[in-house]
Amino acid sequence: MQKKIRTTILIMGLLVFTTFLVGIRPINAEPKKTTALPTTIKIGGVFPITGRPEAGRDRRDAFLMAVYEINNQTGTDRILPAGVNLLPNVQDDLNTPEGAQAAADALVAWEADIVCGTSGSSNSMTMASTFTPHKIPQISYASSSPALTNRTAYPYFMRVAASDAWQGVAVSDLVQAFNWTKGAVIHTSDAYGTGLIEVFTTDFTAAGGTVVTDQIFDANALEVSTQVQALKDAEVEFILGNFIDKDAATCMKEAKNLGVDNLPWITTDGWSTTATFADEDDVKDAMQKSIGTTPAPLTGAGYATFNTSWFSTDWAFLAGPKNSQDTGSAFNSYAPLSYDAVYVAAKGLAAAGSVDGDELLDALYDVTLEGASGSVSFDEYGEVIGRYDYVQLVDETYTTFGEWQDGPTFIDGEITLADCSEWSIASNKITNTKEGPCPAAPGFELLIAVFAVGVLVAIVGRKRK
Amino acid sequence: MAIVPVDVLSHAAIAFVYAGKLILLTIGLNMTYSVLKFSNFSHAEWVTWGMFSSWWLLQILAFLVPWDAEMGFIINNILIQATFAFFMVGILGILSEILVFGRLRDLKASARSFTVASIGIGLVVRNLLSMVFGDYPQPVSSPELPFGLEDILVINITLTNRDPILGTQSIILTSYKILIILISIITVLLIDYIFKHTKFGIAMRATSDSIDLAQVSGINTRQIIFITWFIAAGVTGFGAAFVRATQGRFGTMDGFSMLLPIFAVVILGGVGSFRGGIVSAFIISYAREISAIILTEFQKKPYGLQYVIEDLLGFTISLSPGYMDGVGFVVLILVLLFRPQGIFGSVEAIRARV
Repeated sequence: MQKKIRTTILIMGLLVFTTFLVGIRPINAEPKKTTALPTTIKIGGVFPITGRPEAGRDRRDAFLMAVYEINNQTGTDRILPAGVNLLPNVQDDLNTPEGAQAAADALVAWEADIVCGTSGSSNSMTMASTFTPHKIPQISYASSSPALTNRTAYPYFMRVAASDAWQGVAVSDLVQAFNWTKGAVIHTSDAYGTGLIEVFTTDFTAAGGTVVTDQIFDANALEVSTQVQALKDAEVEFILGNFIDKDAATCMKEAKNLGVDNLPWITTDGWSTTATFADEDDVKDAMQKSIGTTPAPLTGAGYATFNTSWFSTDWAFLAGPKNSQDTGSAFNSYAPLSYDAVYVAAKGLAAAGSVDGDELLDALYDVTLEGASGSVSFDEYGEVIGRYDYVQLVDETYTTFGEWQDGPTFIDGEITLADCSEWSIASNKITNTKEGPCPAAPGFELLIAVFAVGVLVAIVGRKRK
Repeated sequence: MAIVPVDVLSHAAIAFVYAGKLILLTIGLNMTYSVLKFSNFSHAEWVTWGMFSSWWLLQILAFLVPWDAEMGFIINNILIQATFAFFMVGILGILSEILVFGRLRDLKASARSFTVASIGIGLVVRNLLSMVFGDYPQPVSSPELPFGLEDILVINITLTNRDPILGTQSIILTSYKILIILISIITVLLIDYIFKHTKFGIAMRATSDSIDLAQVSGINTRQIIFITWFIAAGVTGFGAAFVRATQGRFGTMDGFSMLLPIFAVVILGGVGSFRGGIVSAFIISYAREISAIILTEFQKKPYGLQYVIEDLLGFTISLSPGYMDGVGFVVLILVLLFRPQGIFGSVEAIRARV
């Protein structure tokens, strides 16, 4: 009995001692933030470097360029106080939520003060959920899902890329301009794929249109024939697709195989790009004369400077391998946004004078910038206003036939669609001048003709016998 | 709107092609299942390696040989690529046996150990492929068929076009889809014939029943096992090359994404039954397709059942066509509830199954 009592007291003593020991260094989620700017500010950057190398590397390089420039600013040009520098930490999210989670965990362990990234909306959501308890502000340069505007779920998230809430309305305005009332949509099941479609469907339906069918497939799916065939069965006036380039390639290849490429296809920013059909003639053929939206080209002095300096050999020291600089091709369209995200971060840090998450976030919302992507300013949700161009793919070139900024504006001219319909654009109105569809393969008549010939041959053959 | 609102023939053709893909990719798994008596989860990476090796040959030849009109036929020839994939994946199968499964067999390991080891092999192979080729999808430049078959071997028939009763009924099949159907059926019948009517097949079945007895009977079981691995893996690689040709892009996760449907086909058809594999592939494929049609019609505006229910009852039931992939597994579960050995499987096979 005494032994039992002694053992119990010993165990309880150990527990108390352990609690006391642990209590000296409490483990909690509160970040060790200071109310002054440290000399080294840790800035994380997350990019799909291996998952989407043609996009991720350029966006990474733009991030690193901006960090370098900011650290080397002098005099009145300097944004951050003298002696305060940015320390970058580049993470690869592999373009998957799992990779994004790992990247976020790594940056939290590294005690990042602020993070730029990432590209995919689903991946940004994963990261935002990890950063929120640590109050780490996150500025995305490319995530566009409207779901990310939810400031209850993602209070420390903001972005320099426009939400698809704008693009969904832009697409809806486009199809309404063509007086289409019956359409179908197809998209991936992730946050990016569904976000724009929901906004489009709401706006289009409110305007009297009907989305006859909504087909969905998982990102990276191999087999989409059934979904594409269902689009064909719907007998609609247009098909809106919302996915990124590689899923678009899968879908359009199947569309070509099944003969669905002769309907008007509407593209969105994820696949209104030459990367969709690079080295794939079938996909390029299927996408001919498709129309859609793409982020408005960047203009302004900031963009011109960025464009000029991008290919400078001064950047040879950047971590490689590079994409655009090595191939000589134009940089990825979101590279300037990645660049601006860093400048927004720097201006926010300078204004806040602190790396405290809440103070920094308030300061970030008030930042205005004439950057590489143009004029940047944020609304009460940390969102920028969207601007889009309406484009059409002809051969391998996207030509612009209008733009959208709070409403559509079209350029006068003529346009022919994939269903061989012809349209005239004048005074911001689109008028049908020739109806589709393209001349179709003979139908039932052919079967009857073949059958009749067969019967005739049989009768003649019998008579001869 | 026509009385028949869907292109039934086209959907039937799509389901037929998907069944062909499933058959082609399950033959190897059925072989390993029936002879070696364990679930080989690295089968997914055989599919992936088959795709990559066939593509890899194209890259090598394009690098070494000047690509002109004559040489293009050899460089980008699907039969050459598929044959190369056969040997490359076959070698992978043999390596798996030498490095892992053979040692486990010598240690008299249980079937579960084999299965777990196969999962590990799959992870290793997948990550090696990512390291070597990258994690991002590779574009597919359409390979060529000999004798201009890609232009000849095409079915593009439109029986009715926007007919008020029948709507549009058409069958559109590219050459690769037709080849997948033909090759899958020929291959499964060939393997089935080898199993049942050749000395080698008898030896494989004897080895499957009892390795010790087979050895006593004078059968070189080690050789049989090696050949089984080579053929099972090789056939999978051969098929994977053709599947790659039908896709827009391919990547390191493609095989893994096919793993569940492949296992569903094997289990539903009955372990070790190749003809059962054909039937089950068609069952799963058509169940998937029919459910997609039903779910699409359910949510079709404005007359779809979803909106009728919403008007009548005041609440919405949303069933997306995206659920169609799950329907095949529902069918699998229902069949197994009444016939656990699968459609053509035997009761004894279940006891050996993991």
